[in-house]
Amino acid sequence: MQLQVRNDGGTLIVTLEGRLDVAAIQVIGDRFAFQATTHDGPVVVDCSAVTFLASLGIGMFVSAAKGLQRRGHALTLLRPQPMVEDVLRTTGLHNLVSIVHEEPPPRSVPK
Amino acid sequence: MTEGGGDAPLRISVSYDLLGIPGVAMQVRGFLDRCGIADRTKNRAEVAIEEVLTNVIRHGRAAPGARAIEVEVRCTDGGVHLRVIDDGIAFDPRTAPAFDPSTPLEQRTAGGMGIHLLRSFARELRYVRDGDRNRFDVIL
Repeated sequence: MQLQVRNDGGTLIVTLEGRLDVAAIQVIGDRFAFQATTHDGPVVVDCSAVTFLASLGIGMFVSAAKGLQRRGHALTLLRPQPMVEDVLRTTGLHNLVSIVHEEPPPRSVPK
Repeated sequence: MTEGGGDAPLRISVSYDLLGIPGVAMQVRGFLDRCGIADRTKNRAEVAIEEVLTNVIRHGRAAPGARAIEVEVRCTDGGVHLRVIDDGIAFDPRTAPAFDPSTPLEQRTAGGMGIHLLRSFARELRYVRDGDRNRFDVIL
């Protein structure tokens, strides 16, 4: 699992590539959490190259979204593959964060 | 690991080590590829095996002297039958509390999503305590 981060005009873009499985969480989980919880602005996770996702990965997204929400910002998941979106929707994550298939404008939760 | 051809199941012996799970999942995927299982079912089977093994290993169910976890995978008529046998303490995953996917973000915790995925993806979940071993079947 590869994790790359860039700041695009105040929006943190996190690009994940590979399998977001139990081993990957142990490798990138802390780094992802640090990035998401210390950035003062919206966070977009580019999931287009994520090939596998299970509950531990969902938990990582939930924790990040909660932290962002407390600071008035939002987490957006960008372009998940169908198999990954199947898992996201089954766990109801689409009710909690935006899942978009086009490059979204940065958004913040209204204060 | 013993792997048969034709209708023979895939059998894998797994140690109580989380880092071993992805390798098992990849073996399961390869086996299901050879069976011609549809992508959606194949992915769900891969998720299921990760959830079951993570649960067995992570929640300290390895009893003193626990040796290994056995995984058996069979291709059925367009579907998949996963069987996981462990020699940990008795635990029926079906008894885990229900997870509500409509729970708002501020009330969400990390727990419960794995068993929810299993319940959602499987046509049937079966559990038997067989002597000193748990036998859990996931039928997709």
